[in-house]
Amino acid sequence: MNRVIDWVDARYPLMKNMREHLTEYYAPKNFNFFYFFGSLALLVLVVQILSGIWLTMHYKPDAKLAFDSVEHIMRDVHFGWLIRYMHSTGASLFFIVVYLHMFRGLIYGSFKGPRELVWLVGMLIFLVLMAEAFMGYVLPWGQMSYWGAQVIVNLFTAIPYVGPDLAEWIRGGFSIADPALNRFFAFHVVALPIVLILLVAVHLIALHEVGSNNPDGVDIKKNKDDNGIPKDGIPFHPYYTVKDIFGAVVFLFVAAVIIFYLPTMNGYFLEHDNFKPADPLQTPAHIKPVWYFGTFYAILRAVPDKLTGVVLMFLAIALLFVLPWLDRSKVRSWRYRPIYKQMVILFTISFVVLMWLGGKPATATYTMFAQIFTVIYFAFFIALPFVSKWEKPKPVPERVTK
Amino acid sequence: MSTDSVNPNRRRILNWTAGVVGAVGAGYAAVPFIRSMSPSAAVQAQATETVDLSKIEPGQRITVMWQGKPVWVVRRTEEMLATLESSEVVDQLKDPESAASEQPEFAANPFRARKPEWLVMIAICTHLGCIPSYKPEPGGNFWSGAWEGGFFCPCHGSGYDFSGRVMAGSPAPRNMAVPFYEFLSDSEIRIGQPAG
Amino acid sequence: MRNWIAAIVMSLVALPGIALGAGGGKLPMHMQVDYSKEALRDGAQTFADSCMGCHSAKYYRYKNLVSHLGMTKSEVEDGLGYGTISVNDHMMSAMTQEQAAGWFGAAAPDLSLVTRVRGSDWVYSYLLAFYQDDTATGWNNGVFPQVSMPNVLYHMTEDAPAYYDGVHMKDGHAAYPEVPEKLDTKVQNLVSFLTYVGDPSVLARQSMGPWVLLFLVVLGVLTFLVKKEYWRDIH
Repeated sequence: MNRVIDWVDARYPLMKNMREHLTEYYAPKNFNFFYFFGSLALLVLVVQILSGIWLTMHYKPDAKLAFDSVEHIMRDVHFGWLIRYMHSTGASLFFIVVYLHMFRGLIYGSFKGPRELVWLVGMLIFLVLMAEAFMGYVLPWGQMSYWGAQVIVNLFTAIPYVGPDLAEWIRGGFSIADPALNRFFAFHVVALPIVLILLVAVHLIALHEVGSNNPDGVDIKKNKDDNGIPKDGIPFHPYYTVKDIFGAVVFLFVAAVIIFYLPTMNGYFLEHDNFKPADPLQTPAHIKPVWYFGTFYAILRAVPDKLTGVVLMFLAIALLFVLPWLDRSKVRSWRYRPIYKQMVILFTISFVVLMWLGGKPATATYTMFAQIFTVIYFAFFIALPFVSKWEKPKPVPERVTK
Repeated sequence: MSTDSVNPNRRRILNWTAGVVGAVGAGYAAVPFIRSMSPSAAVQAQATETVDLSKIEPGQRITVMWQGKPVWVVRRTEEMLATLESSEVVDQLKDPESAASEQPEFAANPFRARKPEWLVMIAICTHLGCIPSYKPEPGGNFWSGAWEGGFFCPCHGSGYDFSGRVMAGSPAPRNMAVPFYEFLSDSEIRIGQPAG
Repeated sequence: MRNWIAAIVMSLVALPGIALGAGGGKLPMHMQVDYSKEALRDGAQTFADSCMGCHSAKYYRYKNLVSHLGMTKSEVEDGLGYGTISVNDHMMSAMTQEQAAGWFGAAAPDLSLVTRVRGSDWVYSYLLAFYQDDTATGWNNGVFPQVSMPNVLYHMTEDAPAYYDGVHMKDGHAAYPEVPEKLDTKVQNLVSFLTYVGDPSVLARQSMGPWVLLFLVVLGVLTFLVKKEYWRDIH
């Protein structure tokens, strides 16, 4: 076996990569619970790709056949129900994992220098993931698939001058119909997964170039031993590989409970109205996006003006991109930034409340609350450049703590 | 970081146990994916094809589709049936008893059928899969030996008698296959085994 | 064993949604779905006898009654279908959309996914909310006002007529007497059957689920021990 490895290694940097990225990649030893979510996101990506490929063997991307083909998978294909539920559960779990992963970056300052690019690529992954999830949701061609697509693509008509033509070009028609379904299928199954895989690779390479952050925000490369190894660093393999494998098993347990006992999550993961075939002549009583888009949908609806609502919604995501430059503090982790910590907590509450509001009908009361929490959401970004400069952080330790 | 007091045996056993259990799990997890590629219930429901015999004239051959394959139903005349037992034909056959043929048990006779009048046969040449032509007239100059009537494959020149039995000089190795079928009545047959 | 996990999970989820108990009062009426073979077979029979005159369940194949519920081919083809169907067929009503539109003013919707869309409790409440009124069919419904469907359940059990005679409108809401046992069981079995038809995988999930979870617990313990063993190095 060693001879085979040597033969390959003389022609391909196999052992070099193993050392650089696994056995000699020194990660801080104080990773906590929040540090599981990166590897879990990778796991979910793999599961989505595998289950997705298998679904594509039986799914028909044609407006007349799509809905029936999904029922065919659920009933006639052996274990089709399992593969479908893996895919639908995986989609929602992907966002739970990714939101917690982003939250970790927020609280420990992992977005700050020299990791700005890691954060930017991560935000790109988030954008692509939202597009991927949106298009995937259209494919079953249920009522929510159809009307959700109709509403979102109609958003583009808000753009001055080019809006209506742009929307028509995206749809390939005057309304959401078979052309739109087919091209969403092409994007969802081929184009975006390729883009996602490439972005994830770049994300990891950029991370490894500068090294991982940690809950204390301490730079472990500042304290090296005589061999040049960070004193607070441990080789990723075997320590974090075995820890992440355990984390993966716990995660799979949660996923299995959902897949086998609560696959629709009472309408949150698989919505009730989507078990009705798409009907262009009948709008559902409550059009709402899937839960993971709730925050941005609530912001969109909170503003009475169509174009302003669209702009604010995009801004809500765009501001996350420039976070490394909005935050001017030299200190990374919220453990040593009490004011920043409170701001983050407020921001997180507004994010979650808005997400809940996004699933509710737009009554006067709910809209008022959406407006209040939209203000809180944006206040985080507006206040940050000032507060981060003036805030008095607690002293940051030299070495990592528990 | 200390690795000196490590018990390497414990590590090896734990790793091995977890690895084996994990591998077993991975195997079980693969099963649904593999099984999902087998014919679905929708496909299995199409396991049979019913054919109406009432409009078929004596000597006529019709072709129907069953499980994606072409199947002939031929209403053989007395003359055609007589050729099956003539020595001219039988001497040319590679496998006159159909010992190596793909056929149900009831076809173990010269007619290779339930009723001599009706031939039901999968219309695929056993050489490389072409659909042979129907050549019921004796004579002709396409066959090197005596031609009493049957089926001739234009692709590579294989010849079969009126029961689809392959003749010597053909590149085809075996007699054409006979599917399972049943008479639902005198004028109706159902090809294939119903699923369930 | 298979159902206690389902029961725990379901009851935790249902906590916020528990409405008034079954048996009279206001909507929504709540029922516990019964996936036992006996309940589902009874529901299948009711569906075939009372519903399939107008309604189809076009995504459901008769042969699932054989493979999932243990009925024999003959029980299905002769018992349920009265000799008119083959076990490979889908559950199709003999009445066409055009006939329904002509006779009732609206096509009877396909019921394959009705409990997925509306919920089992809704369908259960609907079936018990018929009251006599001045309409084309002589019946109205407190859950689905002006529905075109007649009350095919009126004679379903011997205690049914007395019940339905007692359903009436009060202050714009439907008010119900206590639902008698025979009728309640029949309707609950029917709705349980429809719930199963909406997602037949529920049976496979309930039987496979415990084993998958058990396996993951075992694997979890093992991988945890491996992790602990390696991390003894780290101080």
